[in-house]
Amino acid sequence: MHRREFLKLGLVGAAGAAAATGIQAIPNRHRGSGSTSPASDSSPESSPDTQADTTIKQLAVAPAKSRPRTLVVIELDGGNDGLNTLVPMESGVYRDLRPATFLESKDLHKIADGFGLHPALARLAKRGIAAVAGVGVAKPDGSHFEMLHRWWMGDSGGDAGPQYGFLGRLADRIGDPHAPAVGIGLGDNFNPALSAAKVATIGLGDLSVVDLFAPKSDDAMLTAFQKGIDGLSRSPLASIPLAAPVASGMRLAVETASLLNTQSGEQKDLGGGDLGKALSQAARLLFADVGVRIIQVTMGGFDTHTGHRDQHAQLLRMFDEAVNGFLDELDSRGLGATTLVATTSEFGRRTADNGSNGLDHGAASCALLFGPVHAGVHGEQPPLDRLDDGGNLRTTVDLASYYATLASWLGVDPTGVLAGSPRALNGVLRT
Amino acid sequence: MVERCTSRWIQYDIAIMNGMSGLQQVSDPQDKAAVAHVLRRMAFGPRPGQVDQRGGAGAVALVEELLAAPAAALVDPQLGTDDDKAAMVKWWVKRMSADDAGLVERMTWFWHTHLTSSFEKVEQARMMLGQHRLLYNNALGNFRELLQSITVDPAMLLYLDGAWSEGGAPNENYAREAMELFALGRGVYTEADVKAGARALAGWTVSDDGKASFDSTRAYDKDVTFLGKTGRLDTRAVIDTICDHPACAPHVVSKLYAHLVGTELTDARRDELAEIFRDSGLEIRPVVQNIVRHPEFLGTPARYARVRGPVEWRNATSAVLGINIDWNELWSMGQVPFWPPNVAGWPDQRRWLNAGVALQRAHIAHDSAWDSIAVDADDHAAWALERAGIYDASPATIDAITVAVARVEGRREKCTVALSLVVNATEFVLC
Repeated sequence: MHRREFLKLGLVGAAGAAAATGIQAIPNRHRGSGSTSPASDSSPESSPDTQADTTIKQLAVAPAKSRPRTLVVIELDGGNDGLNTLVPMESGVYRDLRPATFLESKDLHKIADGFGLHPALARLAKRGIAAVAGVGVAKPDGSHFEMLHRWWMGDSGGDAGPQYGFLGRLADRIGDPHAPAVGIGLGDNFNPALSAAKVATIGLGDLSVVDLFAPKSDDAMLTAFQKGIDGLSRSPLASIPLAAPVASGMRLAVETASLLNTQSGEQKDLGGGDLGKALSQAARLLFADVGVRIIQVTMGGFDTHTGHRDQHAQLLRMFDEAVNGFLDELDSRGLGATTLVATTSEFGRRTADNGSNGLDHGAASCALLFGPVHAGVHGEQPPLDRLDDGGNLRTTVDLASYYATLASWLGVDPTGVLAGSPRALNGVLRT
Repeated sequence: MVERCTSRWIQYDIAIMNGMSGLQQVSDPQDKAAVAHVLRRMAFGPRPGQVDQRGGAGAVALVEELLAAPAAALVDPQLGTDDDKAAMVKWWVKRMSADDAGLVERMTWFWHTHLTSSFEKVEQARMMLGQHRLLYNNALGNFRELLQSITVDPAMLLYLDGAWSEGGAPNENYAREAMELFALGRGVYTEADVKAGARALAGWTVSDDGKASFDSTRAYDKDVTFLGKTGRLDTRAVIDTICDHPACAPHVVSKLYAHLVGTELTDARRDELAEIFRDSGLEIRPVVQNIVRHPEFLGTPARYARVRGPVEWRNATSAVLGINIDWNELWSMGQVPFWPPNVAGWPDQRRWLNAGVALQRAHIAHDSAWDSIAVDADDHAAWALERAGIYDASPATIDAITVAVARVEGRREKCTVALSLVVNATEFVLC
């Protein structure tokens, strides 16, 4: 069904951005009559029975030029050990500092002089990774929650106090305010990074829930339910402060579900566990071309205080399989050239082992980028023999510079979305 | 005979019975709403019929009744099955859904969200059971004792890596989270305190059969300076120092207040509660008593000031529908007892209002409602709202359900539509 048809059905209204931490519901979101997505203008109207056929036919390769640039962020939760992800092979003290957790040089995938990637990243190393060393903040903090907050809000110093998330700010700059969702968080609860002022962003545990809002005029019970939910989401009582975010969350649910259930096509199995599943859904959402420009997925388990070696290897194996599968899927759909994939993590791990075969919270880590990037090592490896007072790697590439790179990929001026005057890293993007 | 009285604090109705107590039906909708509010906050109710059964003497009297009710003795679940973790979840969900689930169950749930451990990392159900009993038995007891006990609880030792932490290279996880999350809050301690605390706590181990013991050969054998206190501190001394810190009482009472009342806590009120807490020797019951006896607990701003998290919503929805919703549905909503995603528990209640969770609620309600109870009624919307314990529904809520019910024919159809919608109403999603 054509996207505009949903607007006519009255299933959309004056709703606001998804309710989440610190978000105000926006009371007026003007609905104009025009929409701006060229690809969807050409999709034919069809009845529910033939929609499956139609969407399968739509799984042809889209010409790259007509696709807007998109960003997929993979958040590695817990604090990914950058030092064992991108190993500075020539460091004289690496093995001394990590008797329980070091990696042998011969097992690494060499991607630049003096640098090797973790053994588990076999497929991605072969494909090409842009690894940025030394990514962190000037004043690190050991708390997950403080550092997650800084990364979510794009607030390197933790003192700028922006109201909306970094990805939400990007979405506000590039997104279509009429699209049901410009930013989507997959596989987890809604992420504050996606909170936005003007455009809609949404968290979806799983795409299958959207089926409930498929229009079925011959099913009186379902239609009554759908209309009822629609009615329940209107006119929140002003006397109950939480009523407004309840209503706006429901409205957005109805709108997004109504749209996505017919547009997103089949789900491919990429391998790579839950991350692979989320990325497979991401591929569908991007291909559906319904205005989704930023997708964030999370992968947990990186807080390796104990049993680091095996745990980290297992995680990176899953990551390798899932992301490689995702990049293949993007390429086969003609989206490879216009989708940048980038990791974030709240911090790295402590430079030295902790005596429980693990690594405590650290500071600077490495970030990984895939897609239209120059493979190799970027940024500057922090020296292992000149650590900070906490025994951690010093930051050489500030969070703001890393984020400025992502902003510039999307055509957004970094100074408009980040404090200070951060500049994108040179030489990372194949622009 | 109903008599209106004005006290210094609050206007309330006293039902004066001649020779009968607690049997008069509550007739005033204002009072029913207040009774329902009490049952939502101090227990997991109201289950259908409970407002009339238990609210005969009014909301204030019900508060006292719930405060006075003794804790039932816990009967252990059947373990030694193929899936003990599932057995534990099922066991607790069933208890929370019981007709007589009261304040102790409510507070046990609160402490689980605050002093967290998770099956994500703790493998043995017996260990989690041990911790669970600790929380249940101390839910309204002494906080210092609770914190002492949970610090050396086997499940907690495993969850936050206290187990096998060595004085020479201690694991910092527990020291950090105990201060940041459990007892003091941020900005009160330094990284040096984290390291010192970790040293002083080192030496505990957990045996294969789940017993904690202290091995002095693994302990730190020198002085530390922890939160301003210098000396050879052992575990008890570390926890005592934390509890004695001026930031402890305000931090803990704030959490209690947020869970029970949900409105903003003024500095003055927080200090008042902190003083009660300290003066009593950190006893939890006096604080809870003061909170629920205070007029602000029943006042209008507190009504619907909290969000029903998925566990609470599932319990309440099951009761309203008259069926048992499989606890596994909680995975899709993002909250499963004994499985907090990280040590912060589920800190932000507003995340339950986002579109993704709203979709899940709609999905679960729609799937479950056909099997729910079915009655003849003149007004199915009114019937459903009463079952749901909502006596102050907004016009929008009443309309939405009424109009939807009118769209279908048949007793079962009408009941299904009414019930599936009422559990998605703002007044049901909030609490």
